[in-house]
Amino acid sequence: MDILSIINKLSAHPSPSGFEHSASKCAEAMMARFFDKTETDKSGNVYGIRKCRKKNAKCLLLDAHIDEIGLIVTGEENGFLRFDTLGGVDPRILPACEVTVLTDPPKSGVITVCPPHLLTREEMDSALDISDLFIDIGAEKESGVAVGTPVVFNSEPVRLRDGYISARALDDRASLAAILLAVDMLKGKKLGFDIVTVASVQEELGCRGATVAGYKVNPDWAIAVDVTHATTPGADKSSTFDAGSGAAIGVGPNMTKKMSDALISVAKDKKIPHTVEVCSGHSGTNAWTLQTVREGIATGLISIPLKYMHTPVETIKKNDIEATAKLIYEFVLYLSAGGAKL
Amino acid sequence: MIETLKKLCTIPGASGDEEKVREFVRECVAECADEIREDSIGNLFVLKKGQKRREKPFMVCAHMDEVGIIIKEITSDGYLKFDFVGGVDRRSGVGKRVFVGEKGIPGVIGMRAVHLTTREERKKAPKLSELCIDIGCEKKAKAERIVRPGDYGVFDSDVKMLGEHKIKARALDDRFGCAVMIQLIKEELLYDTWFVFTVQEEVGCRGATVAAYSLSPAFALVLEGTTAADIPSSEGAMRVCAPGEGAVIGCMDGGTIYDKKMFSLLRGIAEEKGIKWQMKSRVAGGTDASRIHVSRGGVRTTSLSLATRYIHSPSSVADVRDMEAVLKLSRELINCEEEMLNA
Repeated sequence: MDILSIINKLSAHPSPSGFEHSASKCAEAMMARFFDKTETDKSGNVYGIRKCRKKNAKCLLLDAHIDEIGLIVTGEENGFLRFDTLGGVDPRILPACEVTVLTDPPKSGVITVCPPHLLTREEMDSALDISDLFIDIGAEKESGVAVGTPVVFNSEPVRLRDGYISARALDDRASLAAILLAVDMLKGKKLGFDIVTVASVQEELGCRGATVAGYKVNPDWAIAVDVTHATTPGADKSSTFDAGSGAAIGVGPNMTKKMSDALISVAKDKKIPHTVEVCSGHSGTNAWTLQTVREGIATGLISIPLKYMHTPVETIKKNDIEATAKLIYEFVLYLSAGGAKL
Repeated sequence: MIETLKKLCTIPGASGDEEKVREFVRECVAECADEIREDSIGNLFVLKKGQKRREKPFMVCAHMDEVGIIIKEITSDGYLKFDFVGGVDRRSGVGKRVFVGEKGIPGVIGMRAVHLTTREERKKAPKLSELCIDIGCEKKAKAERIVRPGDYGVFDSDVKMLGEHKIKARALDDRFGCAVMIQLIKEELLYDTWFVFTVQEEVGCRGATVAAYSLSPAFALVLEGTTAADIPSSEGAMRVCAPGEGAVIGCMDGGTIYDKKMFSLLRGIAEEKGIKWQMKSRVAGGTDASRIHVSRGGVRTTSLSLATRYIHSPSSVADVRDMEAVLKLSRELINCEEEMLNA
């Protein structure tokens, strides 16, 4: 299975935070091919478990979140749906944006915007507030859509030039693809510890699924795999990573130093394209909560550079996903070989 | 007509780049037309003969072009700087997919991630100079092999139904008018009628200017998509017109005061035949009529429009029932006895 087919398969399944069920089921079906068994928990996390069949074996948790940013219906006016955001959405991406309202069956919608002919220059220079925006589902008077119904952006994956892929929700499905790819590469390798992968829920609302997953799995080591900002026009280069620069390895208080050091040394040894991402505090990823679960978990963070994060046109370079998969694979082998007593 | 419209809305054709639309229209009407000609700017003139001749031509017109994108520059790191062709609210372009160049290369209009912006920045719409099209190319030289400055682009937007009666598509303004004309050309008409598929309406009604001059009609009917703002954030007259409320009969807009007698005639027909119609509650927008009605010694000009939400955005929405209403009224008008028009 390759990266594109994993991403394409998942893209048919919406998973706004708190409403991940459909994508989680798809992820579970995929995991079944790579792991000995799969499980789900009460919060909706999906696990893939690979046992080493040793007694009291240690355990490595690999985390990628399955949820994506979205919207949620809060009411209606004349058949137009009022909404709020699920996760960090810049309202500036919303005018004339196409969405799917997740009723059963789902309904297509367009977010309202006033014709430019009727606006002043000043009006067009200012950003619209969420309270000015509604979802048009073509309803005549009453929408029939229940308050609390989630909504996702429409955007099927498209291949751009030079190995780039653009789609919604590459944050964090690209990371899940990298983990699955790594586990696939580990097929047939004898390991001295168990590997559990979690496709965790509600990261975009505060890393909630990972909190539960960390507790349930109680691993010795955890690696959160997520996305970071790729350099785009206008972005401050000091806080972004060039697309194509490989896996960004997190360094800072949120990451256990031994884990960061080991990841960097493996990347160097194996000549895997990588950079170091310095996080002075909260990394903004599941690494934050995983690190302090129970008595604490030795936690590392690998991030894949992603352009236009939290928009319907998130764009990623395939090489960076592959580098991340390779790094996870080599790190697992390193750990299994006794890995500097981590 | 609706099936033709759906096809028309998938063809790229920003102002100045209408060739693909023109060729599609030509194919659609080839068998039913009595004469087809093209002028230097790119307008397509189609004569459909009826049972009777007219003293001077009756011109029905709709524009083939749509608002779109034109590539201005390729940056050293392979991004495409662009401008909009026609009136686009740049806020509707952010985070959207596009096709650029002759081959329809896919690209995205990205925006700096929300995490990297300040609260102050988020209050303002991003400037056009801050927006780029990303086709994935990392080097200028590589991008230059597939896209050139001056290449056109359009938004990537499919055609789908919204609810029971509404269609969502790119370029309903004015492929809708083109679809109505194609339908009428296929029908038996009472009089000889010239149908003109114009170019460059969105950048100042350039095609209609020369078309009206060369045809020198006595009457003109302009078929258009027009500004509907019946959304919760607009109130009262600011809503202008509404999909589902019928064909919009032109009275006055930003470019034209429409012929009063033709307005009355259309209103009378609509009432008599039970065809739903509406008027705009705001003087806004403009159509090819603005140039046609002042052509040569003046042309008696009227318009029938389709109330279109999110017009000039990647995803416009209009009502199928209104499309049928415009078709019926257009048919009634061009099949009117000439005495009625001259009365």
